[in-house]
Amino acid sequence: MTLIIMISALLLLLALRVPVVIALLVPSLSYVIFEPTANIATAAQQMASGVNNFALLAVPLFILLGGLANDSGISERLYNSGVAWIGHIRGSLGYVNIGTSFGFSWMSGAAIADAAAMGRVQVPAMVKRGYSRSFSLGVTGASSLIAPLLPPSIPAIIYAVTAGVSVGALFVAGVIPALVLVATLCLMVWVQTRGREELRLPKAGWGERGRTLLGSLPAAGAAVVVLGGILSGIFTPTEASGIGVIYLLVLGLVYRAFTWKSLYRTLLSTVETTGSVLMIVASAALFGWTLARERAPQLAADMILSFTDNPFVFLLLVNILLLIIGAVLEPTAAILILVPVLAPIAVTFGVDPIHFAVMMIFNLLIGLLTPPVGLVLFVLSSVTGAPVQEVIKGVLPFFFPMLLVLVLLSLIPTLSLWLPGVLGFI
Amino acid sequence: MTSAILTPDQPDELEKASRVVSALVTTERVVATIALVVTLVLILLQVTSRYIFNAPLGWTEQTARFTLVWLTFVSGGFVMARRGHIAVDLMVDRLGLKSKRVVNGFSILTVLIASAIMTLASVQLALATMGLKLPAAGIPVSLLYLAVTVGFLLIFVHGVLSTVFDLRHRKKPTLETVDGETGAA
Repeated sequence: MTLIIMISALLLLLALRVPVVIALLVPSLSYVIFEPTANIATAAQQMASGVNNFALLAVPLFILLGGLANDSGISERLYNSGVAWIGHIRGSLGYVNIGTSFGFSWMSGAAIADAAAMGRVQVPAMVKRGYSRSFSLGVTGASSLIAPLLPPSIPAIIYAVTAGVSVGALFVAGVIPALVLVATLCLMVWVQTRGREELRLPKAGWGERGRTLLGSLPAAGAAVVVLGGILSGIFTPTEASGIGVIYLLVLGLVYRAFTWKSLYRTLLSTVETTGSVLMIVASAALFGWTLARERAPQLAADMILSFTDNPFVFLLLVNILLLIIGAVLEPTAAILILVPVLAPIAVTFGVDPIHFAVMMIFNLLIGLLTPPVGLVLFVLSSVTGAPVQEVIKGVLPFFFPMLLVLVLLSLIPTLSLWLPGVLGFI
Repeated sequence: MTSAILTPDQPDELEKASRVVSALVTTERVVATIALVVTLVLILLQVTSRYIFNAPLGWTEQTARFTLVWLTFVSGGFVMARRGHIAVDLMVDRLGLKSKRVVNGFSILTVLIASAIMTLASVQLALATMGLKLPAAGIPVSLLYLAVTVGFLLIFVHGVLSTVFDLRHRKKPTLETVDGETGAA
């Protein structure tokens, strides 16, 4: 009964536009006030210990890393290099768009940042070369999901901390799924640009290719520093985020890409994003604690088990639930609210925790592109000046490849588990 | 959506109108930015002490986590100054202006009550843990919980300030989220 009241209160408050932090806080606070065995000071303690966590230190630092990567002009360099190498292929700018996202994703863990950076530069460039604006917006939006799937990934850190799995393992587990996503998105670009012979650029010379490749090599350096460090076990993901920030600071100084003003702005927007995300982490920790105290995961598991004991049916149900929730809730918030309940149930169904995590993260990421609350749609609309409806129209065809990837990730655990297994993370 | 997206270093209407608010927000920005930089330095210190000096420091991790808690709650206050906390706009967007005002009034009232209670709860906890210290870093535990107090106090203060400002200026409905500045997905 307590649980039903608490969850209904949460949903009602969310619907009434109460910020997620407070919407999670109110039922939990009521619980500690009215429950005789709980103490109100516990609320503050649970919130503080929710963020007093070494793995979470990587959140602000990876956000900062993405911001610095953005300022350093790396995405423009990747773009130029891509155009020089494959510009003459039909539909090349579509592939370059995906490729740039892929390259940028090794330094960025948030789809929003990726969509803002790529949308500002590439959508106008594509439109200028004869691509329709809705297609350009669609490919930019869909490929922005690569960033939070490929390490470093902010949702993966949040998930790992909430579910108690290894951040490193979850990072590595996202690599193959990200490649699958890249492949299916490229296929979609191929389908959509078939027969459009005008979508070719003049072939670039080898001098141009060499020069631009050299210019974009430092981007690969960042990936080597961050991922190489994590994979080889030299750094923890948190330490790698710090090293990555220093690498990009030095790189930006060499490129002369930073000004004091831009640095301060990047620091401030990092602080702002960190504040809104980690405050939710803190109150979700408190909410999760009350749920666990009221045995919510066990009760939910019993309920689902009485309905089915087939893991595939379970995964199907979870996916449908998540697609609905992802449409209205931002992924990290959804992870924080749902993981404490869903992850233990997945274990009782014999689903590997890492496999479940990758599936769940990717599913919720799709929600970034679905109305009514699709943050990437709004970001793309605001940086390109296109109406949200046009962005939605452009993204629509890309739901095919994205849902295909979701099905593959759900049904084939190997896609998520093979690489971490080979590298000794699980 | 919002009419204009402010970058976080630009003053908003309320900061332009009041020097006290402007000073408060600037302090929050500076404290949170310093906490971020200190966190970075501590992490780097941890790596270098382990690999370069071959003598891992015991206190860096705990201190970094301590600064992260402060970073979180102080910037949580700063985000409130911009009404930037993530919220679900689904239902409210379809309402008329009057119902929107009612919903927003309810929303801000909830924020104020919850943050007032949290401020008190965290003060109580800080008092109860007086005298205890974090083992490795030697920082008083009360100081850790004081971050929660400061965070919710700031949320409360900014909530009151912006409500008063909006009522006086009768602007369009409040609690707009600035998409693109929030959310780290």
